[in-house]
Amino acid sequence: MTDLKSIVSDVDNISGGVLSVDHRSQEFFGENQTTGSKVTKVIGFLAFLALVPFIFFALFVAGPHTEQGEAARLLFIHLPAVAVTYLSFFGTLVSSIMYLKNRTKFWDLLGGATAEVGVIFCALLLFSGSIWGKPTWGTYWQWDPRLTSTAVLFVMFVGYLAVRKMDIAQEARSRRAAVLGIISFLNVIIVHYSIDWWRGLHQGRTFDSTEVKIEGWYLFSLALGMSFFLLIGTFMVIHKFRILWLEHQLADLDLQFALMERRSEVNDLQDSIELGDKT
Amino acid sequence: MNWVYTIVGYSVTFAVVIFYTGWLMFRGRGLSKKVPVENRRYLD
Repeated sequence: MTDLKSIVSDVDNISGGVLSVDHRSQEFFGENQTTGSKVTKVIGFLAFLALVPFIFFALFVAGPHTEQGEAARLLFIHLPAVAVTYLSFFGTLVSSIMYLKNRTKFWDLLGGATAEVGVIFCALLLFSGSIWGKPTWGTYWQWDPRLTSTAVLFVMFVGYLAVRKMDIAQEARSRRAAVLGIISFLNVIIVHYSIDWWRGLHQGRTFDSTEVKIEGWYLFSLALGMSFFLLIGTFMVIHKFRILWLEHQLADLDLQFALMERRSEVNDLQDSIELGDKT
Repeated sequence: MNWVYTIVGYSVTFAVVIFYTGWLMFRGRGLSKKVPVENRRYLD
């Protein structure tokens, strides 16, 4: 932990309990004043490398589908969004279990980061599925088991993020969020098997253990889309984790700074009382 | 007419991805300027 006296000497002013720095000391704040690192730069570059051919092959090379027409191209973003959502929420599950076991801030914040990215991609999968449904099924939404369970999954993880924002003790908030993260993940299993358990409008799996129902440029475009979404999802999780870490560190510094201020006030008061006694 | 749905789907999806990624980087930059480098060891 940084020596607080050195912080005080380097910080120009304090407003509203938040450290506000006017000059940017490189020694104090480092050369890299971003949440980027070599790893994230490489991941970001690879994501961009996948994005350009993805757009080209998905929109221009893969021809329209015989039954679904141009709308079939929406599956190139829908399926990767599903993959990133599942993986992100799996990350939340693992982080929640590890937090309850180890009670470390790392797992708590990783759970928050994966859940937020998962919610973003879950919203995208609901949107892309809905906009694909209109030309294919003739409706944007149907209370089909797969669609309904996915909507419930989205709401549950929004609830998870809301719990993380609760104004209660940090330990209690993290514990409740971890428990909710584990419960919410159980819905991923329901979403995944909903097309087997109940009869609905949603089509079967594109990939299953015995057959791949996609080939040629469609498969290639989907592979590029999958690569881009997985890379950008990883990029987002790393950055979000670092942001949560910085917010946690800032709150910690703020608290210590406030305590130091109170101690200083008490010392000043004691000095003035002693001075008054002498006179 | 199906291409309209495709264009809207792709546009909204990439707009969300680009906006969220940009917001993360912007927020990270702002916070990095407030937290001393010693408290950012995860970046090493």
